[in-house]
Amino acid sequence: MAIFAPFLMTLIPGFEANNYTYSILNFAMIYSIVGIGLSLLTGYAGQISLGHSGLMAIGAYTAAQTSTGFGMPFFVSLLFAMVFTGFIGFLLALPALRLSGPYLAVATVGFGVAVPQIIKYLNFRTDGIEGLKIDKPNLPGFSPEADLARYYMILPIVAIVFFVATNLTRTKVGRAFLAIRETEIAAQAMGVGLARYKVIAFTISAAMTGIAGALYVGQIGRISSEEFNLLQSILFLVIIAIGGLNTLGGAVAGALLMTILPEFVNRLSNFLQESLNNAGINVQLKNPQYILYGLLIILFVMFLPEGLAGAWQRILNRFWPAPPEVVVTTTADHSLQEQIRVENSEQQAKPGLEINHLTMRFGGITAVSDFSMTLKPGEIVGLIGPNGAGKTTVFNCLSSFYRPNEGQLLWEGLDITHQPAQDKLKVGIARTFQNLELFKNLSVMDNLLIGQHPRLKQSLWSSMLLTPATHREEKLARQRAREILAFLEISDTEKMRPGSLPFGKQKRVELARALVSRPRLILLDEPAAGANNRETADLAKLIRRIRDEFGIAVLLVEHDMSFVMNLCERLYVLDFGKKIAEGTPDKVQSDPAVIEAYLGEREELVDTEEERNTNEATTKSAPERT
Amino acid sequence: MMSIVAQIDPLVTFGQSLVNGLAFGSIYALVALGLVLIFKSSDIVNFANGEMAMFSTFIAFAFLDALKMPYWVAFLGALVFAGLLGASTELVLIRPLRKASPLSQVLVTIGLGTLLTGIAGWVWTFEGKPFPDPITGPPARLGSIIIKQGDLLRIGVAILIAGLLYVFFRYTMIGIALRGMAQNTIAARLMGVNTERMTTLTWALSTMLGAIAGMLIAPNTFLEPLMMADVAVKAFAAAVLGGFTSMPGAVLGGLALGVIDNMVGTYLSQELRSTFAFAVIIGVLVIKPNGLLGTRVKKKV
Repeated sequence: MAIFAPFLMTLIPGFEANNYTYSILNFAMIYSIVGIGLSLLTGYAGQISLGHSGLMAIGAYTAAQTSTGFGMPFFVSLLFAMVFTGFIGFLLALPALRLSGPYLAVATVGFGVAVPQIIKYLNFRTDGIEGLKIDKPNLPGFSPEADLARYYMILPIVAIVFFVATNLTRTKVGRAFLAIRETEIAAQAMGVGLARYKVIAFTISAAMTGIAGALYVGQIGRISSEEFNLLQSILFLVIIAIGGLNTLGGAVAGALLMTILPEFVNRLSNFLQESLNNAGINVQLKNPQYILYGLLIILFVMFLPEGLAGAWQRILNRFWPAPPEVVVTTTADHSLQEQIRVENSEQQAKPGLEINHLTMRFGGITAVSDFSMTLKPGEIVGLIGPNGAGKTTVFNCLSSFYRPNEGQLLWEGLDITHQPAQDKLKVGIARTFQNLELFKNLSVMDNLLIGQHPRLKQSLWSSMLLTPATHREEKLARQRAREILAFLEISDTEKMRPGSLPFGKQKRVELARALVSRPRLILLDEPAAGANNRETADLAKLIRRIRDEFGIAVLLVEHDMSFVMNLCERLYVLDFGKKIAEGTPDKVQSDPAVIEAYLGEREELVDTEEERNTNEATTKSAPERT
Repeated sequence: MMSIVAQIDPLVTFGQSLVNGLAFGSIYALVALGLVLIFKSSDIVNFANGEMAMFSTFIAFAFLDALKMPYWVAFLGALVFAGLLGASTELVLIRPLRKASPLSQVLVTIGLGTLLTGIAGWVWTFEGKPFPDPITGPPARLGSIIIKQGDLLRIGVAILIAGLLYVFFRYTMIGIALRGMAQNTIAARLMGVNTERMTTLTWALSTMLGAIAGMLIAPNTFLEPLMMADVAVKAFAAAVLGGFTSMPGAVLGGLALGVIDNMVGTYLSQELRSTFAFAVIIGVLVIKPNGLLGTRVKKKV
């Protein structure tokens, strides 16, 4: 793959093996290390950084100071630079946790601007105009000026960085990054600690940039703070943008291009300028890199958004199409279900869900007022009410997306009222969303793997090294996902993106994602929305199966009356945030308060044969979007 | 530096610093207004804002220098150019990318800005050129505090434009349509608002604001391709400080940032001005992640 490019380039016929070309390759490799780090942070985790030049500067100056200043061997300085820059990245992550979009971009710009200023202010052993000098590292047997020596030193370092980064992307950590980038809400509901993984992304990205900075100063031999400016941060973004935003190989390709191309363009513009000058036209073509970078960014973003890596992938697919993979459709593995049922039955002894006097206010509006309910393990309970009654608000309080003003939420005896959103899955509560919060740009399989996030035991280090234990856990996770997909009869969607699936299947994918973590309570938010009569009937059967075979308790919010009446064992009815009725479907149907709340729609509450025949004008109430 | 400050009456130093800060802050406010305008209508941050302003100022320079036109002709010419530049950017670069990822949208503006810098450097070189102040004359005095005519103009223009924009958005049909569009594009369309034309209009308007800012600051900094780089970054920070969705916030943020920046330079350290300014901003953002006057758009789950 692209990672071998720096090595392969030396094998191209016509490659002049001289100092100059090796120095170009060295720069390409140094920039690809930054590219890989930035790709993890911005491409994968979606955190825009316009301040990586600052991190590069920190790495460079740390290495310079520790090696020449304190006399350490270069390799030790490199490690110092990596650790210290990583630490700065960690500090940078903390304010960044609260920011996103333009606010985050500004903060990183500020960082990038501040670092060279601070360095200059601290007056780092600047030896006159030439800046800070360092003794270039080299291997025994080579002269200090031999870039070939450094080529041999840098090449394995790039390989290691690439290896670690690739392992991350193939495991829990990489998926967590993607989840955060896609939709923070769903990521939290899947138990992905937003803060934790953002910090990890910043720290690792910074550490890698620190390595690059150290190698940079080792390569050039001297640095000055002006080099590390906004234009350099932009260059880094260009590298990953033209390489392909979340591909690591693309970062390497982009770095290669952006090192070699300016050389080429420089020569070209010098040549042009000379010819024009000789022809009598006095034109200055200094600093062509601005026009070059600008044009490259615009052209790539507009016409080749997946970057070089994406284009390469397309070419590969055109000429060597991958054979259609045979997806083995396993019928639901009874051993797995048995295992789950044993787990669930062990929990039966615990109390179920208890909501006590829940009140939720938004400014002057009371969305939910003094709401109380209970749900026993294994029950199917419905929460119904007209539009705006507060049903989804109750769900959002359960999920901790809202903080209740009053009241207490208890699950299995545990007070979950103020529990962070990302811990819900750990205590066995899963949910689906009214507007679907799937990771649209990830495959269905990836969605289901993220759904198991809290259950995966991989640590950060075992992720980076892809230990055999991690490998096994990944395989097991995929197997669990396949079994749930088979249970829901959507095995064929495994490799597809939810964005390209019909709505009904997308709902099943979200249900699968909620199930795969083996919850004990599942919150379904309008599962029948947008479904026709046939699909609704199938869904009711499916929910009953989920309860019967997995022992999962179900709390659902729904508008479709016939669906709810047939499926739920008990109902709670909300109107304007208050509970107006509770009980079995029969009891609730004939409650005058409920009928009054549904004025004009009471035909839907009656579901007997004769009623259906006499009321031909009955139309099923269309699910209304709140 | 510190010893000189100690000899002058500290109140004068403070006052002078305040005045200078407000003058620069007015420039930041103008550019920040342009940024917020575009963000409210297109939901994009225009990273090329500074460079577009710089380029328009160069056009004014071309009118003055090459074509030997009087100032007011150059001023209007630059405005017209800015409007066209903003509109065509929206049509050619931004609109086709409406469905692309936010990062792509951000990157294309970064690319444009870089490209404009390169073209300006190519046509006019990277050396600074003098640019005239539209108003010349003896500076005003407030006690011992010197207020240059140019500074008065800057502050005055910023206030005037902020006021005009306020009236425009509050009381004119187009202004109200723009605000509605920013809140709910679909509803605006249903009401007959041509949202696409409106978006192009906001880009034109925003670039014109930047052009005015550029022409007001060029006399101070000398006109060169990287002139607006520092201003753009500070204006960006000012817009964020004020809350990216608020126009009064942009003005407030701009003025505040100008004053903070100048105060830091006077009392703490010239070299670390930007650093402290950003530290303040990041501090504000940590406490109020949406800026001083901004509001968070809550997503309905």
